[in-house]
Amino acid sequence: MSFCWSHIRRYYMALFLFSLGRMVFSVNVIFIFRVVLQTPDRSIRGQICRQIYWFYKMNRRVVITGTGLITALGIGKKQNLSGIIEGRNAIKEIASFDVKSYRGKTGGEIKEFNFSKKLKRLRPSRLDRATKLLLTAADEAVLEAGLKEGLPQDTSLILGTTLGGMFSGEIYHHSRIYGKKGRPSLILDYLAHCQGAHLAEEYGLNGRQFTISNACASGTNAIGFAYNEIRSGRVHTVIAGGYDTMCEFTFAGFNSLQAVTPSLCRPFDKGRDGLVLGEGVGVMVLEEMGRAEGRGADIIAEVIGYGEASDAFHITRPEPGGVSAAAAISDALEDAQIDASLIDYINAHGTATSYNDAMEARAIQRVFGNASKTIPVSSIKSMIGHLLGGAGAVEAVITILAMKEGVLPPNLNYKTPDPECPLNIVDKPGQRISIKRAVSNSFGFGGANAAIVFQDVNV
Amino acid sequence: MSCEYVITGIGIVSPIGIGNPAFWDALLAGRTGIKEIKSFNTEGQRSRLGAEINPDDIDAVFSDKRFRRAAKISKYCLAAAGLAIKDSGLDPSGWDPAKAGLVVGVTHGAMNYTREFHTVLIREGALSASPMFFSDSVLNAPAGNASIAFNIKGAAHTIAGGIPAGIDAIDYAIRVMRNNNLDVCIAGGAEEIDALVFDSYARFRLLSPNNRGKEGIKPFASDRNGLVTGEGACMLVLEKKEAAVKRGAVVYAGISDARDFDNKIIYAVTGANGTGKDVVEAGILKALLAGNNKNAAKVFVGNIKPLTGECFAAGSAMQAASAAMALHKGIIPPSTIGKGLIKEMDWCRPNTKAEEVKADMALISSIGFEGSGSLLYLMRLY
Repeated sequence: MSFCWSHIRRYYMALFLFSLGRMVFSVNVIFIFRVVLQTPDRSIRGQICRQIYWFYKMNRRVVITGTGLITALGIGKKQNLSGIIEGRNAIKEIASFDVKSYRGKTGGEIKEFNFSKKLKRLRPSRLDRATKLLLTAADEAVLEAGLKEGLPQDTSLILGTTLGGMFSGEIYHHSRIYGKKGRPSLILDYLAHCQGAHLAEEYGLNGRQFTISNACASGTNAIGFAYNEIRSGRVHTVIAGGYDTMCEFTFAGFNSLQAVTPSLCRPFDKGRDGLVLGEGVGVMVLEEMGRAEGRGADIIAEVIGYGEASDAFHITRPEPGGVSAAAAISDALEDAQIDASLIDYINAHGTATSYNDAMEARAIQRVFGNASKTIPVSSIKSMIGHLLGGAGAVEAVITILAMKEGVLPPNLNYKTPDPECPLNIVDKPGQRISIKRAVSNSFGFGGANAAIVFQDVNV
Repeated sequence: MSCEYVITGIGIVSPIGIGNPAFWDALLAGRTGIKEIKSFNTEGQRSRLGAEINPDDIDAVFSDKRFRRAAKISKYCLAAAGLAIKDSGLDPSGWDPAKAGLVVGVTHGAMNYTREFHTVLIREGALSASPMFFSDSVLNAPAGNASIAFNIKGAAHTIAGGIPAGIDAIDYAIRVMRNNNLDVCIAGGAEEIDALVFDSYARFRLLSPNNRGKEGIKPFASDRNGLVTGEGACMLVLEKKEAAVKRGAVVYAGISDARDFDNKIIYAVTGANGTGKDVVEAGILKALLAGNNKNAAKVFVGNIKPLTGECFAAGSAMQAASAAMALHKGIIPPSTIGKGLIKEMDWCRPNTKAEEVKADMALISSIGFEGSGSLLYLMRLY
């Protein structure tokens, strides 16, 4: 056994040195053959081959070939991108329910969303608003990926959500409380895993499905998990994303926690006094790089690192020192094998609550050190609100859009710098910069922390 | 056959017993936990039965003042995770928190608190709504609470799923352990009984009796008439095989990563619950176990639902726990599957008494209502 391991170690060492010197692939292959052929024992030869196979498997690259987006800024990427460039504020007074008795009255609702898509296998009348939004965004992503026809059946589906179909659940419960019967179809799409199951049914997918519900970090968790699944060779194509709708239930909940602002959402500003809720969906198609290139797909960006950690501190409050949040970010950078100084933009979680932003600033300082004063940081929650389970996925898609366009998404309403958050906040819209690598952070209830690193294809 | 990860601790909070010795005794004795529902009024409903847990029993095994106001589901999860860690012989104060993970599978989540919060909101208005109910009504509250209680900082995840969510969580936990290079991960499911869920299932005629028959779960029977809801939690401690062997831990079973050993399966713990989907599950089991299987005549088919009730996410994790204990002890508990089976199960010969069998592999199957289904393969380690 020891003989075998020394061989493997020797091989890794040599391979490392070879790749360091950027040797051509053929030299690598010859080297592998020589190591294998020189090994006398057959079973050890087999083991080395297996190790090499795993080594290559674990080094698969994961690329994004399609993205879909719906937020309060608009339906589809085009409207959203123009909104980001202009720095349009999509937060308005809430229209879908009565907000008279609440402390905060505003939110980022999706307006003018009419679901007209023809469905192959589902009945639209039985679907929740979340499923309709998800289907629309997933269509956009799959179309961009060029997989409208010929989406592999074994495509995995990994989604993040907090509420699931709470929108219909709420209506059903309301009628039950007043002794009415309530439409039974409202509960068919209520539970959090049903939307994913419906999407899989519509697309005819039979791959592995997971619905991750880690509060506000769910979306990032879903994309990160999908990235790890592809990298380890278990799957080759994944539809990943996150979604949540605007419900009175959550609105009242965050109000009861005194977390909703009565005025403006001001992430990282000294006068910040709470978050604004929103709704939206972000979906992306992730593929193994070789496979995407093989079928001639347009590669939008690459996922190069993912990290996660848990606070184990308090169910709603973040750990004030930001130790676990910093651990998640530095894990992601370590996974990406890049130095912190190579990051050009940080898409912050920035909920605009006093606790979160101070904690996040501390976490960024911990990881980036002095560079934290210069790297541009912004939270798009100032434009579209906090999308809970959808936040991570939507922010990931917007980060990629910004990367492609070369524009920094603005952090609106930033007027007075807070000494607790000494960061380079993007306070004006339309700032042009070349973004090669960007980090997107997400932190949530229950101490869930996650960070993901994206890289431009032209690096 | 090889496996990378093993089960070294089992913690169960179930209607038939708290802690795995009590659970196992009830399985051997065939003792059921299904009784008249006490926690809410079932008047006006055709169904009266449910498998509930006595709240005092939970306080006896887990009392931490920090979580006294947590939802029932969180308390079950905390108690089960505590029992599992104790059973594995690990010490949460001694482990590296960054190398420990937690994955909880849930189906309905903290419905009691969700309903409570929403009812107050609708009846009394926004100002009366209590933040305590809200913060504990999120789906990841059980995982969040357990990560705080047991100092778990590596990863704390919640998998929302149908009935298979418990074994999905185990599957997911193994992937997370590989991705994050964790030493230990606690995975399983948790569920609580609630009036609104009960009412919803009754409306879909999924609750027993949906005809004039007697109330109760009859898996795979031709005269089955629906499910009986249950509650509880089941958490398993997963570790790397080498690490577990090195520290001399009791290894219940290994989790098999490859899935082509159908010929070696001797014990199948099914998830059938007396509803329409039993036919689907029977079809899958027949294809897997009775088709070209040389051992088809020897396969024992078990089911725990007539004893524990349908505990959804917790139920599928309990299936895994019962299979792991059966592999470890070399005893197959008496099957609760009765006579008069549907034709897809014609190959199944249920054992009426506990049998001593050294089974190599066990299969856990679970099918959800929305078309999801999961299989988990466990293997005995020598």
